[in-house]
Amino acid sequence: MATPGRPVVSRRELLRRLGIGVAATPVWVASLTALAEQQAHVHPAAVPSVPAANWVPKALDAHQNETVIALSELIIPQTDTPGAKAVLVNRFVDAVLDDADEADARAFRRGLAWIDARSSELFGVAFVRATPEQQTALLTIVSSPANRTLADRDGVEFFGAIKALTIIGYYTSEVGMREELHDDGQIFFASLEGCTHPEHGGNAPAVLPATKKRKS
Amino acid sequence: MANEVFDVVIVGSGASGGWAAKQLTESGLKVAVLEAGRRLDPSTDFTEHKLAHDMPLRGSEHPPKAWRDEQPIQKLCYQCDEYAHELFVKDTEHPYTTAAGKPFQWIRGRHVGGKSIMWARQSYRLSDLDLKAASRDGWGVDWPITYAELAPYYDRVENFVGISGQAENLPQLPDSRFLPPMELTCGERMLQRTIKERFPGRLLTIGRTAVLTKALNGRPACHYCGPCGRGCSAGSYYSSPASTLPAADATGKLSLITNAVVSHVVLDDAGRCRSVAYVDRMTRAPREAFGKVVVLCASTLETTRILLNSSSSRAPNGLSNSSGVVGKYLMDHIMGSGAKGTLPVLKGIPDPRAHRPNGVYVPRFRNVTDPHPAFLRGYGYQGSAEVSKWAHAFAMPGFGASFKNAVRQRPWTIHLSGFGESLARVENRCEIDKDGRDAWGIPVLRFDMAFGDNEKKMIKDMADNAEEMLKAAGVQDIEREEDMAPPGLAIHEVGTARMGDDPKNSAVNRWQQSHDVRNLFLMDGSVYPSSACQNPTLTIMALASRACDYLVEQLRTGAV
Repeated sequence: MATPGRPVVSRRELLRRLGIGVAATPVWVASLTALAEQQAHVHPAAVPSVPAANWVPKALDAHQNETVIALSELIIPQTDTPGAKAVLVNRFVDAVLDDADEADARAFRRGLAWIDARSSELFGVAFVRATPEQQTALLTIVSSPANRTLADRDGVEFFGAIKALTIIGYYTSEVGMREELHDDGQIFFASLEGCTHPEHGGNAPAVLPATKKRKS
Repeated sequence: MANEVFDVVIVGSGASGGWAAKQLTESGLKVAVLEAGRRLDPSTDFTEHKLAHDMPLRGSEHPPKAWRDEQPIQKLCYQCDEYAHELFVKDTEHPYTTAAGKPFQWIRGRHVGGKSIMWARQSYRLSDLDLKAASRDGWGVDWPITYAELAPYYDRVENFVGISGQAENLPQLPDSRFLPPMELTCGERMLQRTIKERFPGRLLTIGRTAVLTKALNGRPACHYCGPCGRGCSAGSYYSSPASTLPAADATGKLSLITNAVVSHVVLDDAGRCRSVAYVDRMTRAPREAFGKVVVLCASTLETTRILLNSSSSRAPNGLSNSSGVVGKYLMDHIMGSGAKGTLPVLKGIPDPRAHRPNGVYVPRFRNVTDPHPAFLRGYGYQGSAEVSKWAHAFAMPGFGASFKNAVRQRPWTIHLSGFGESLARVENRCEIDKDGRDAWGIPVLRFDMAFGDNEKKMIKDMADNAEEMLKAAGVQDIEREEDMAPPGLAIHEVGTARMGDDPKNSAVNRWQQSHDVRNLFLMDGSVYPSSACQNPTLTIMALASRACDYLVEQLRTGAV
């Protein structure tokens, strides 16, 4: 499916706009040509990548992974666009933890344990078995910037970490980028437009004579 | 090739080595370029077209763990991230030492093209305000050349490299031979107008950058994909492998020798350079490249290391160091100070910046006409105004649907960051640490450098004035930043083998020829007598071009 509002540019047109003629073509341009072709033909019609079906977490156990899924979806839920669970933020979190320095990974696992401990204390069940209302209530405690309670310190710190990872994992995902940010990943532009608002000090948009108007 | 004698052996294939190779081969000379690293393959080594979700860690600002542990210094560079870290050296193979309590962060890339692959491309001419600064304020020494002498070489370099920018006719920041400028965003226009109306003697202009806004010399115009620092498959910004080295290669006179880790320069019995000694990076075998002339373009600090490691009975303090200045007067620009904020007045107006690989520039306004009471010299600001895509989410409170919805209100953000001159001080220096060896057995450098009182006062002024200008432009939520990065991290290190007319207090003459050894030339940032506040690469290339003209003439007349 082509990206709405973005015409598929022909390879010839794209290369013309990039100023790559048929004449002297430096060696380095060969790889660009291939990329441009890919961008013109493949990217707008991109087939969404298919997540691996047999994925298993490397840094987290199954319960920790379920907890991360629940937490990330609470932070960025499905609304009119997909949420963190649908874009598999948990897999990104696992990859980061697998790469992290051991002290950081340990602190994160300790945070997951803190969430479960507090959930048990408040609701008598682990976090993933609590009701959505209970989960929201717990996160409200640890997400409050005003919360300076010593007993909640580890939880507040952990929430900051899982929230930051959820933000990165969500907005950099293929779906998050396209559906939430409306960024189609285009990386070839023939020109850059600047400010065209005289009220900001910019130049009004140029009105080209009809004969010089470029065909789109 | 074993005993081949080249006309010129150049050490280093980066911005200036590329220029020397082009100009000397085009003059008919047979040239060898020694490069410590390998050739890069744009199709596999460059990552500028990868999106975050193409990367395992989504483009983390640090290298992945296996490399992170080997790049404790390099990872501090903004560009040494998950995408581009392999363009930086492993610190474990390239150690150096520092004086107690005085950090120095040496950022390096060893491959064909050197740092011209990862550089930030900002390109500004110096003026006589910089070159003759000592005569005006009494600190340090003047450059031995004038702007008028350097200007034709700026022209030559710019006409080949391609610098996009806007002519402003400023005496302190001469215009280049510009390609068309890139456009300003709405927020930048607003700040530009405010500065023009309310801050006499100051202006904001689009960054001057070595990125092509139209095709030039067989290289295509920029296609605005954005992240230049990961390499450019199109060759649309200046890097030596995309422009000067192919030009040199086309002459048939160039021998590019990769994986050649240079240790020192070897003299003959008459005290002239005979060859350059190097270690094969892969086999560790010692090798030698013979030349009638040796040109060091290895980068400021590597060139200095080679000179100091070339000591002999004839030159006990190191090569070209009868003056004793080699290693001394180390400079880097000061940075880390400025201000940032948001522009709510632009709420809802889309960002036309897209992936513009360039920012804005506020040229130096301190000590241009009237002396400033607190400090000597000056600084320029680099900055930009753009719509935050999603990074503002980190600072937003809460979670859930309301949080997700609030992130959709994308703020316009704006920032100004100063880059200032650091004064040349004899005590800021590097020397050989006799106890240290790199992975190839070559003695390492030890740094002893700290910024001084003049720099600290300038840092405060940078923050004060950035804050004041942003406030005047209606910027909200202003955050002052008044830090000073440790020396090295601006990656504008210069000095340590300065040029001058007096052999008693300089390493090379006005043509960058060694005072002590006539067939030795230095053509990188090591020759700077003072740092100015402009990004140095353009000037380094212009100086190299000028020195090459002289070298060719000297060879023609038999003087060298």
